[in-house]
Amino acid sequence: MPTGSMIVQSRLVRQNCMIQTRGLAAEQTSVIRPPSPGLSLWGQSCSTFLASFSWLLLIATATTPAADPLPEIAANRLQVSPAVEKLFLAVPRNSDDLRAMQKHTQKLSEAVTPAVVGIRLKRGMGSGVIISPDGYVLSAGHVTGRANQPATIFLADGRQLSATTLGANHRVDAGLLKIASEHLDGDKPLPFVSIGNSENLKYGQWCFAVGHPGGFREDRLPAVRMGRLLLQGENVIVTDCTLVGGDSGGPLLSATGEVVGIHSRIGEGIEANLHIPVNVFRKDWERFARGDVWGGPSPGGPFLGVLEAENSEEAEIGRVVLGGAAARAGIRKGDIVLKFNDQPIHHFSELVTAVAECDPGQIVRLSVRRNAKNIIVELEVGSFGFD
Amino acid sequence: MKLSQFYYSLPLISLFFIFCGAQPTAAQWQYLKNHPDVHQAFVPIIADVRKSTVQLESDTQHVALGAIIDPAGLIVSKSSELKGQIRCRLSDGKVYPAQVLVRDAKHDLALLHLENASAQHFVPIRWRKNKDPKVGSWLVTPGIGSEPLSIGIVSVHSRPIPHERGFLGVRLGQAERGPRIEVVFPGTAGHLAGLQRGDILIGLDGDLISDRRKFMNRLAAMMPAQEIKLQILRDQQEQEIHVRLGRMEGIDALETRFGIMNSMGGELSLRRADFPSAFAHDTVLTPAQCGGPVVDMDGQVAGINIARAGRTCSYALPAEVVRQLVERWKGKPEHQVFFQIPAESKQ
Repeated sequence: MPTGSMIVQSRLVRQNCMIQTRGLAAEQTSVIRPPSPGLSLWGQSCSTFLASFSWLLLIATATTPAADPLPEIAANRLQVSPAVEKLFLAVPRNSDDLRAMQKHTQKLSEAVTPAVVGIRLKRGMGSGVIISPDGYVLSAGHVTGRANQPATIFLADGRQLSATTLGANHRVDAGLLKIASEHLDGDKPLPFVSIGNSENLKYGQWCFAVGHPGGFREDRLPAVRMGRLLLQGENVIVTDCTLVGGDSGGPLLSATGEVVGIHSRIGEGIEANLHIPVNVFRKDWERFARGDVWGGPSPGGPFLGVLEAENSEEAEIGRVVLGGAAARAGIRKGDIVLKFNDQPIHHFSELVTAVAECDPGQIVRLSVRRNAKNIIVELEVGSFGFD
Repeated sequence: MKLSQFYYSLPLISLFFIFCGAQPTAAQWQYLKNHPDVHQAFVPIIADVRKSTVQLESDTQHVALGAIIDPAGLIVSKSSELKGQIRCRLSDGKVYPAQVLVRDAKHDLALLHLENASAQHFVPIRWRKNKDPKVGSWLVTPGIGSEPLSIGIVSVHSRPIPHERGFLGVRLGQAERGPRIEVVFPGTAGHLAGLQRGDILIGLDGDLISDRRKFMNRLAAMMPAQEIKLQILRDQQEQEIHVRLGRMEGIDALETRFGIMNSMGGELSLRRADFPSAFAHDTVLTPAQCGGPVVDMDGQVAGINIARAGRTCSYALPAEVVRQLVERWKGKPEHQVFFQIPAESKQ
């Protein structure tokens, strides 16, 4: 904090006066702007003005919060022996392995479920996970949406705490919240789990998904599921821990009980369960904590609301989601998409890519074949999760 | 409306994403949790139980699994799946016709007796004696083969699974003699049963109906898969229509995003709620793989798989619940003749 105020002081000093600033981190100042005409008055009584002004700056900079650092609390890690940890990287060989893995799974489930929360915002419900005793909650971008929105956090122990959404990266679907500090009670600390590292995950490693499938229910604790890591890409982890609506924002945990992913979305196949790697939060923690929202102009990414037809070689619509952008524009089951704006579409996957490159709210023209006739449909790209 | 129902009815944050090309590649298949290499470790655990597991066919179609609970050849299975001519296929390949002795609608369990099997000695399952399995306990579901069908873990501890209302699929107005059907929604239970616009409902299971609200309330207390008899007036003629109630999700006119997502990844059981006590587990099962035993890591039967309820959820009735129900059945004189092991003496 003191460093910050000195930098500003030195800038001001350089601008208007000729006072020696050596030793005040001058090398850290960047662009020096010439004083505007209106400020030339300051030059006369620069030193006295500065004296009083610097006080103000000190206070001003002191009260501008620097973003909290990424919470890394090793003390909360689950105790697991190297032998047991190894079992979760491989295929069980026999009943002894199974019983050892079961014992650890029971222990892990009990340790982590208290930190998995339901999140309710104006638009709907999702899940999240508390990762620090001061109440930072990881969730999905399409759950948190914009920054500085009020949210209610539902804990497994029955507590309902108010929180505020912070930053979000909508390109990767990551969002952060913080529980209001007045809820931080020394007598009843917040349960939390440690943030892990998604860098060195192994294919086939056993992992655990916790969340509130179907939405938070008072009469039900968060549901625990187990699966294995199938695929990892730059901003996605695929496992066969089954997920469904309501799970968004809940944690994917490794055998050590640390968060390695956050649930994002699913595909048709039961093994298509997508999570964002937790390092997405590590990478841009400052931005999340500060409340930056980036990767998209509105909550959630672009969304059309169509499902692929089975056994089709072309971009044939199999189902149109009620109330989605495609439904509103009059797209029907059986339509075959031929062009997306100027881009020819040969397969459904090309349609998906084309939509992903749009922004919600963007108007696009689809060239569509319906009953052997070619028609043009104008469509406003919808917003995923917030229709 | 209960608080829990309120949360459920809020628009859910959707996980919906069009993930085309979703078929896992060859490299990914080897990492699936239900890969045969993983199943190998479970083979010794189910070696005995599979001999006490049966496959049930309803009019030649495989509809459920079942568990042998008495050496005299008595089976428990999922009642709502069992209709018509029932046969049981055992792990040794033998097939027997089966007769339903009891149906318990509350638990959706049926007790069946294997016919033409008097000379046979059947090995019953061994029930788990401990408390219901904790969250995180591993489970394996056997079929009648040597390999397990599917594995999973307990997701949510035993609890009552709340009522889900049965759905008829009609919009009603009020006529003089009773509620009148204004709309029959396509593809619904009412539509499939042959109800028509203009039909006037005058009776439900033999009771007179005159008031639309009263009828709706009675209907709301019923469950999907429940069979009802509607007495109707059509063109001034009285008729009786049998309806098997459906559910609200999965109906075109009222499909919700959650409903779509919940059925992504496989078919679900028709009766999948309204259980006095059940634990949820994440084992991937088809509806026809329900009704049989789910086994713990000691090889004991922790429960009977009673429903495939969603993409993330299969329900099992805990061993203790089924055991007590079986004891009650044994206690009835008309059933005692069938059981070889007598009822446990009352304390």
